Amino acid sequence: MAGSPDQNGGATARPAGFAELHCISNYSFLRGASHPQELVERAIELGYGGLAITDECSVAGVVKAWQQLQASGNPAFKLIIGSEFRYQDDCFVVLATDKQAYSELCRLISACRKTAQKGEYSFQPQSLIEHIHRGLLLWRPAQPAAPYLPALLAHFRQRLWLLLELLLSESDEAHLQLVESTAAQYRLPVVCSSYTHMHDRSRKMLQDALTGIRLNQAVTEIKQHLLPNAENYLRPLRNINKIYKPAYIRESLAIAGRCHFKLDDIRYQYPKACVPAHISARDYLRKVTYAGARQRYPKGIPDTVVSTIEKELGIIAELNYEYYFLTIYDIVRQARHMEILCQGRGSAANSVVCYCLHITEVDPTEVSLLFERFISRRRNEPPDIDVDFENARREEVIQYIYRKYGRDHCAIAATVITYRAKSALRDLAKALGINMLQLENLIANYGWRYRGKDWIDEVITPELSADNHLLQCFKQLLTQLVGFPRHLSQHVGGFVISEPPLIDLVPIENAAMADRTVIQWDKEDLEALGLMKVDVLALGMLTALRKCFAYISDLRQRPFTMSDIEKEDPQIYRMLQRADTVGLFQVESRAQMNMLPRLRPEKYYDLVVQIAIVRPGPIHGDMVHPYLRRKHGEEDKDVPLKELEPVLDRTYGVPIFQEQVIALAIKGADFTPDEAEELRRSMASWKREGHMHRLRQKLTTNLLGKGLSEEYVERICRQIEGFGEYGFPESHAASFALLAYTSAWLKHYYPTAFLCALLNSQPMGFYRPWQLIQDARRHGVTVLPVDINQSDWDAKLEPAAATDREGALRLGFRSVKGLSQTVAEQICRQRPPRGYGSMEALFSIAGIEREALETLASANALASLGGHRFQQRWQTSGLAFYSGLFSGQVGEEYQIRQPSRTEDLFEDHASLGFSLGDHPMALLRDQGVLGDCVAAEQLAGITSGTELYVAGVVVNRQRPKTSAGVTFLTLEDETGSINIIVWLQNALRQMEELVKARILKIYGLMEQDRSGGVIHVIAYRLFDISSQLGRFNSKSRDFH
Amino acid sequence: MNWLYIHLPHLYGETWLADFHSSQPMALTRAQGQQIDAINPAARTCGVDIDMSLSTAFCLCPQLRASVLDARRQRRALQRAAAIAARHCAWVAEDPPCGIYLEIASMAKLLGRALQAQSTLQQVFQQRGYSAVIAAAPNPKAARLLARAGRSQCCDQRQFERCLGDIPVTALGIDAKTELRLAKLGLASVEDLARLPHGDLSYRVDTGLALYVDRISGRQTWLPPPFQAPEQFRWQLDLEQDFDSLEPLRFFLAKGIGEFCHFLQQRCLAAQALQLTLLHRRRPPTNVDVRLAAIDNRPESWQYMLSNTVNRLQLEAPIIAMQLRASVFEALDRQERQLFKSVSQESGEKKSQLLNRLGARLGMGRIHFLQISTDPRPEYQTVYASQAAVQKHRPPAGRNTPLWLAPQPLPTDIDQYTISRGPLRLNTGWWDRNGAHRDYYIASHTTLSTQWVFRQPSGLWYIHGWFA
Repeated sequence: MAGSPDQNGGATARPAGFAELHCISNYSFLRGASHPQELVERAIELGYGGLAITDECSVAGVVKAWQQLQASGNPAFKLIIGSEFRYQDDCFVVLATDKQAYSELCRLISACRKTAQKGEYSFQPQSLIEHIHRGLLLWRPAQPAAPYLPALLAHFRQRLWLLLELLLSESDEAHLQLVESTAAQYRLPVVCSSYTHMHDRSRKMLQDALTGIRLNQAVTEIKQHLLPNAENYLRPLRNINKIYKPAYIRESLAIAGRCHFKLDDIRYQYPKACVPAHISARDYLRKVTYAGARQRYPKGIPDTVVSTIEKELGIIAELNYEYYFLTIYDIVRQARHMEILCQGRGSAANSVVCYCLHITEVDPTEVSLLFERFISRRRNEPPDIDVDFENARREEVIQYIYRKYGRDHCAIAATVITYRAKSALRDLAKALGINMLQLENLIANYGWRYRGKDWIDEVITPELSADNHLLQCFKQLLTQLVGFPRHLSQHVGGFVISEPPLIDLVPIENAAMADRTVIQWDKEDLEALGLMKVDVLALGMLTALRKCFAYISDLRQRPFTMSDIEKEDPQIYRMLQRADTVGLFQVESRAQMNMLPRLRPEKYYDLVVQIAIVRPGPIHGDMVHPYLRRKHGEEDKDVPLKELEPVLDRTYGVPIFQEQVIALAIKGADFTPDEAEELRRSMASWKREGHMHRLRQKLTTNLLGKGLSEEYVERICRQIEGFGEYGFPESHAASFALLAYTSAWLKHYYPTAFLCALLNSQPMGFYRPWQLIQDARRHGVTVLPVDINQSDWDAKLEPAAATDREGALRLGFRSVKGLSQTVAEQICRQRPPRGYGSMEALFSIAGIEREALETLASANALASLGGHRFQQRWQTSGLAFYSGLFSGQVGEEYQIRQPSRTEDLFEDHASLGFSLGDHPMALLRDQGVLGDCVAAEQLAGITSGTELYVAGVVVNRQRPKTSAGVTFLTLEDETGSINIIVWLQNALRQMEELVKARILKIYGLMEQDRSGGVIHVIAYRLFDISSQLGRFNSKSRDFH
Repeated sequence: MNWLYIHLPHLYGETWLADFHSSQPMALTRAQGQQIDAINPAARTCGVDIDMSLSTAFCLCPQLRASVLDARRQRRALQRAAAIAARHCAWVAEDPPCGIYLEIASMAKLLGRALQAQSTLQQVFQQRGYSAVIAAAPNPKAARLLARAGRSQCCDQRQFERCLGDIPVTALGIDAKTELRLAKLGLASVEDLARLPHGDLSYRVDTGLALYVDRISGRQTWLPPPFQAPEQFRWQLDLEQDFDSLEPLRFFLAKGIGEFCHFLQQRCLAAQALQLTLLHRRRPPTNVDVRLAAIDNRPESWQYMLSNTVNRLQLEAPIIAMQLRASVFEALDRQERQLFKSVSQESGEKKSQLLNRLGARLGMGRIHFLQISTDPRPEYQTVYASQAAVQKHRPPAGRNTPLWLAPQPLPTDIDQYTISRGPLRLNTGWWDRNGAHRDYYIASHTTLSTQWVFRQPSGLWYIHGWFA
């Protein structure tokens, strides 16, 4: 009988143990075909003594493997951290024996990565000698006498093994001969491995497909690059024993025995630079907290606040988080020092200490937030503090962090980009040689937002290929590939800072951005290992607010800050109730504007609810209408269980926030704190089978058992599902509500300064400059055009003489598309006191090119020099010719015609993105095109239920996830905005008009809700009248 | 009115897509691109536009059939159209991707006045399924402008100048950047441009545009390079009587072959295929492919192959005429034009001779060239090819696989073998229905032969080859 490794031999003895020391996971992107968790689980199942995760020049997958090991509760199993490096045809595997060896490995990986392009590495065997002094080296030779071998032998004495990998392929014999002869020649020990790429043989197909994706060719075109068989898997011990000599197997265990390093050994140390000398971190935190408290509560710190501070400081001291708070405090303090506006958000808003340290702005005692949500004794993990900084100046904060804590001590966390449905479809189709054009059609027409469990069967149809077998393979591969890591990217702002050099904890590699480095672990990895991460995020509105404060300060001739904003101003709430919110923070979207007149916020907490309520959670849970009815007294407040009163009382018994649903699970459905935590973390997988199914069952059974109605419980479940889609905690909403209120206050009292700040902070927000300007002008703001003799780079206020009134807004050169800031500043610097008198004077400025002047002419910024924009453009285009080498020549007189109103409009939009002259709809109205159309401002006076025509420029198209196929359009005419609702059937019937039109005329039914606030038109027919304005081009904000 | 321009806006689709004018919406995209380059009328009705992204187009029209526009086929389509035009005019010039210039002044006697020529060609192209816009003007660029602006007009210089005011600058087909510069100067029609001094237009807008406008307005002469139709060989012999056999016609065929080889040698060309067409009185013609193993231009090679082909031919009806046709040629290598032949050339010639002889006797379809594929499955590693080609991937040296492979694996009984080496495992080929899951062994049979056997997961054994 032949000795196939898979067959049962005669021997019945228990196979000897084995440790797989060369195994790559799918974090060796597009090579490994199994998740690290799968590898660990399978190795334990097979009775391996240990497993080394040795991804190629990476340790990106080790934390996931370690977490799996922790969950499996198998202390005897050894998870070894290592990495593979390839040089020509040779392969080197470095294994970490202890903490120091691990640090050496991290440094080696970092060195190889930093000298190469993003995602690649550059390795020389000499680097092993430079960096690895304690780690072990396994070498799979490709040639008998490598030139670097003597040096390696000398350096890795007693730490070097030859790696024998027999994979039942044609090259086995030669490989065995080479390894054994080299071993004999240099007296080196041999260790065997399966060079594992997958945990199970069934992943061979996926491994081949990944190779195809990596080489960007169909698998049938690259057969020579595919593995000939599926032997690169975690083989059963019986097979291992059949293939290798016992000595080689024993050696694997011996090596595993020398590797003691565990990821638990990483002792994270908080950076100490944030604490002054001669004072302990504990004392310093207490000191600055109380100093801050005295500022926050100038009339004396209330006793309740003191006791909360003491309670929080107690927990912080117990968990040794002082350095964490002080680091954030240091960053925020420095930002303030640099006059950069910042504000903490997220769960940190639950902490009074954070409030006193000026990290957050919401007084937690006012909104009854839960400190335990932020930090708890039981959850032994560092708190998560997210701080928003002005987007324009966040880089300054980042550079400060680098400067203060050192480049070696901080880096940005990674984000693992994984395969999602569409990317997996595209890449796999390419690897299988499937018609990509047909696939694109399927992708374009499949309703991704509403996809169900069987989406793969719905997308992979016979239209894609006549080969049924290939389609079956496609389906199978798709299921496996979705969720596979594709590459590492940079987290939006997650900074990791540590006291010892970070490079000793985790490798650092180049990010796509210049001067940015990123570590190989993502946010979840950092959380799992208890490493501190600070989210240094960017927020455009903070930039706008800071600028607005500066303009108001100039106007009032005294500093104006956030504290000057009067709280709970009824006028502001009246404005919000009218949904007069264009340009405001968070409450400016179409959905928020629809909700504002219905919710009618009257106080700060209403605004917190307003921000949180227009989210998938409350909408899916059908909690919006009950809340509105109860708030307006149309229905009595009703808390379903007495024990839920403290949780639901403040929202009239209706759960709105994520925290409330979790509290409801604890108090109503008797969830243990662990289960509640599990629920919070895994809301995204609520619908899936598995452990979440168990939680769902428990929630349902227990709530029903307590007498809650089935319908109510079902709604709670749907709400949790919605939170899974987009979680929005109360603490988050509380921070955002503050900014929303501030922006509303500024818009109400200083509309010109607010507009000026918004324009100078572009790009940001929901609306384009055109809509912001239109809205401001409707509020009485005077906007003056860009002028060569008046404008600066930024827009500015031109105050009325001798008053502190705002005056007019003068647009800046930044509005002119294609004009560089350097040129504009040069023009401003050189501007004579009485302004430029001619184009020649402008052209004589050094560094001002013809193109810049042409751009200014087209933007009509040279109007004050006389003539119209076509003529000016003609003149500027010839300036260089007739004033340079050919200055003696006189240009032929050529009269360029004057632009028409329409042409002026086109040019304004093309050069500036907006027009201060005619509104396109006003132009059309004058031309008689809109004879039967009702203007936006007239809608309020029309009886609800009237069928009518409206028309406008399409400024926004939206199809929210929560809307079940409804498309919302916003049209704008010269008098205001018109909200349009297009039902799915109508949208499908008039898709062309819906998707393509820039100017729409709509026949439909006008509806106004009972409160008299929200007006919309339900579209029956759509007419694309874009052709009426030829090449008019204004960009709509579509389906974002 | 010396020049005529034919604009064929749907040239590619009308040439290569049989149902282009059906109700099936169709779109062509640029290679590698996701943007639409051409559409048929049905797609336009659905709201699909040129330059639209493919995903938007699919969204508007889910039944849209998209295919990638192939640049090589696009060139061939224009060549075909130019060849049609060349039948009516001596000076034809291509204007890629979809236009043709025709000089008609010198053809007035044949084609008549411009209006007549326009109508004739309109009919010719329409009959062949092309939608053409044809215009005539005093110079080629003027005619082009009119046709591309969609004006099927015949203008003299004065008429042309008059209508320039109605032609927008977009009809010039200039790049978007230049078009934008013109719009920013308020220059909307071609007349606006033609009125500008050349130097100003050149400096202020674009030099190329100024030159273009000069050529349109006739201020500068420009003539397009004449179209060279691809080479074709045709020989026909009308017989004075019906022949039941080809035997008495061998002499005439040899003459035809002589003319063919003379045609090739004159042009330093060679061919591999020639078509013999035998015309019958009441039956459709009989087409016979005469094919050599390699390209050749010597009469003896072609004569030998034709004669053997004719020998095998059974005539089904008497012949009234014979034709020889060839249209695919290859230029001879420089080396082959040397006076003295090298050894390798001689051996190459001998190889061709042998292959031609084999082909003549057995039929070219029965001659195969062996090639090695990269498929890991042994039965797919050797493939037949109709042409000899350079081997891109060489198999690794020192393989333990037999030279003699069984056409089909043969079931066998493993008890009659002694395994000497193995296993070599194969687990591949999932992409088609013939996936291989085998363990290969080298084994000695009781008959003392050394064989290559494999075992399937089912436990069955097969012989797949013999070593000795």
